[in-house]
Amino acid sequence: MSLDYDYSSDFGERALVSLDQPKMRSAIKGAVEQQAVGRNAGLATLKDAPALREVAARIRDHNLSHLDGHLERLAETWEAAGGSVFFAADAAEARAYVLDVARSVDARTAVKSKSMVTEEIGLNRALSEAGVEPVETDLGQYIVQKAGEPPSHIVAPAIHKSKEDVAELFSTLAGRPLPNDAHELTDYARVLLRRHFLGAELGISGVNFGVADEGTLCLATNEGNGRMCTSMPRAHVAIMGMERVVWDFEQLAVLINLLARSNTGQKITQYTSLLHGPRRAGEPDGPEQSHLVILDNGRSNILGTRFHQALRCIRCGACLNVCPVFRQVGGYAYDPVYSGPIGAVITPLLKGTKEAGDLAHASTLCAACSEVCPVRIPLHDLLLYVRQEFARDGASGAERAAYRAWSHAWATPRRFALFVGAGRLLGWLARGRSLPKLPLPLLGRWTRGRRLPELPRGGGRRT
Amino acid sequence: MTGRAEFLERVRARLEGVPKTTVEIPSDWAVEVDDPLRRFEAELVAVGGRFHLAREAEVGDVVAEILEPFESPRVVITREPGVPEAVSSSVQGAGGEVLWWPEAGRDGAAAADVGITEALWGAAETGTILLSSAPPSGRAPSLLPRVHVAFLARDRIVPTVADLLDRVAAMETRPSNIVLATGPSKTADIENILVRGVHAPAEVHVVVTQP
Repeated sequence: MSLDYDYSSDFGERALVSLDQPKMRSAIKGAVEQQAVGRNAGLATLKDAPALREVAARIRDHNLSHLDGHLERLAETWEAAGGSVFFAADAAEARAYVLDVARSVDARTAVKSKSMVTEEIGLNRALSEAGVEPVETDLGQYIVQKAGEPPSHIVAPAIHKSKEDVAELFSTLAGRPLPNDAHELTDYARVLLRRHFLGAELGISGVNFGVADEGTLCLATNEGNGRMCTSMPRAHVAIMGMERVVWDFEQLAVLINLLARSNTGQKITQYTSLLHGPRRAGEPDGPEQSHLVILDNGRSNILGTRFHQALRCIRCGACLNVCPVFRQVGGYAYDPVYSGPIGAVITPLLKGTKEAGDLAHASTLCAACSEVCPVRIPLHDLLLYVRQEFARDGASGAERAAYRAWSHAWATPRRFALFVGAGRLLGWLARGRSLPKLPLPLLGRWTRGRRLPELPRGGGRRT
Repeated sequence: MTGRAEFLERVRARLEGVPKTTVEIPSDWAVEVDDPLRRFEAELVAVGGRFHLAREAEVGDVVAEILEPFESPRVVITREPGVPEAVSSSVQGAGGEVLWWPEAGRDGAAAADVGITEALWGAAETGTILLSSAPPSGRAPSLLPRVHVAFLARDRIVPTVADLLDRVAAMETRPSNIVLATGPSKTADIENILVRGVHAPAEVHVVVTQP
């Protein structure tokens, strides 16, 4: 279904595609509402959730304001644990490094634990082109990979699929009919993916938190695939967005306590792995090589700007789950990597506001996102700032002219009254009908499905 | 290639003008736990794990009870100090085959129905156990079999996850892998329906031992 989405078009066009898919919409709505309710219950099990979120925000600000030092320390301690570190300025450098590692172990298969940053750098495609089969092992991610789709939610990638969809997909893979049963379908994936875990030469994961002073990478998963990818293959590569660093275990404890609660409401994910380099002398198993790739890829452009706080993000997904726009249109209407309010902020910042600034309109500015953010990112403010930049750099001449005309029309009481009078006339002409689709590039889409409100006499400013 | 120095220099330059902040983490943010053992049990059961409490003499019976549903199970047992001696004879008594770890190797662990290991610590707040890869433990026995049985000493249950991390920070030599495991493996990726046992164990028993 994602094939109907045209990523060279803008958010509005893609949202219309989503709105035409009632099955997907109800699947998304149901799942994210359940998670949003879980989140509230999860936070209620903390002693003082609002206070802890304040602490978490300050922890992240501390990490970001010392980012150079924290990253340098992480590199030192990870190397001291026997691991390797590579600093990648952009996606191409990161991909090239991973391919080098793959070659060094003659990898034919790479098992992957769900990682949005690998989506960001287009790693799967690069691996395939180099003859290494990338196998996604998070169940939801495996489903969308086999369906040839990008993930639709940063935490629950196949949230848009019904079990009937999955049964159909897996039956094709299995060459025999599988029932519409989540348990049996999961069991099928377990057996299939187990072979890959034991056979792959390379394991690839993201990083939830790099703990600078401890030489430790923290990885949170529920299925156990993260443990598999970091334990079974000969080599492990972890790819970390450079902002995902914390200083020590004391800071980590606070963030772990908020991460899963903010997402599904669990107190902690099933597995929180603390990785400390490759297997040590005497340890019976574990990878011989452990690589850490620290990725910039546009993040440093955000540092020190008015968007700085966006880098606090710990990718819990809470803002997606409460967003009225996300609930209606799902992840695909956004950029295919990062969706929801946080995606609408960081995608334009990473890709350029001219290219992706339209995403900032994927918001009602209701601030529900800011309300739930565990690290208190003022997302709705940042969305407004992205809009400003987009209006400056990305909006068409026609749109700018329209706003100039609008501002002129409202500048004096007399002009305003005339403007409202014209509006009343239009409203009377349209009388309860939907507006026609106007053959104009901007207004055409806006008028689709909208009705004019009845305007009061006197321009609503009678005294 | 850009290189580390240049990468960090760019970050440093971008941060010019950003005030360096500090953070004081209050010492009392974590939840308080009154009765760690009872809380551990309740939380473990809530996430789908099974709880057992056994004195040394009762360990054999508990193992036999866990193995009851199996017909001649293959059981990988680690040579960790926390795994009681009575375990292997109990497995054999239940008609099971004992595979000793690490000698059995990864293939042995992959073929086993049940993995029996120690847990170094437990956290009451969440029903979490701490698994270490330090020799002779490794990773496979608690990961590959469908059933995982972990032995945890009663006096090793600390109140919270934050306390577990304190214990890790205090370790003299750090293993390459520590897992904070909370109940069985699970997913809700298909229609948000909870399914236990995706890639890691579907059934988790924690046997808390007391003198």
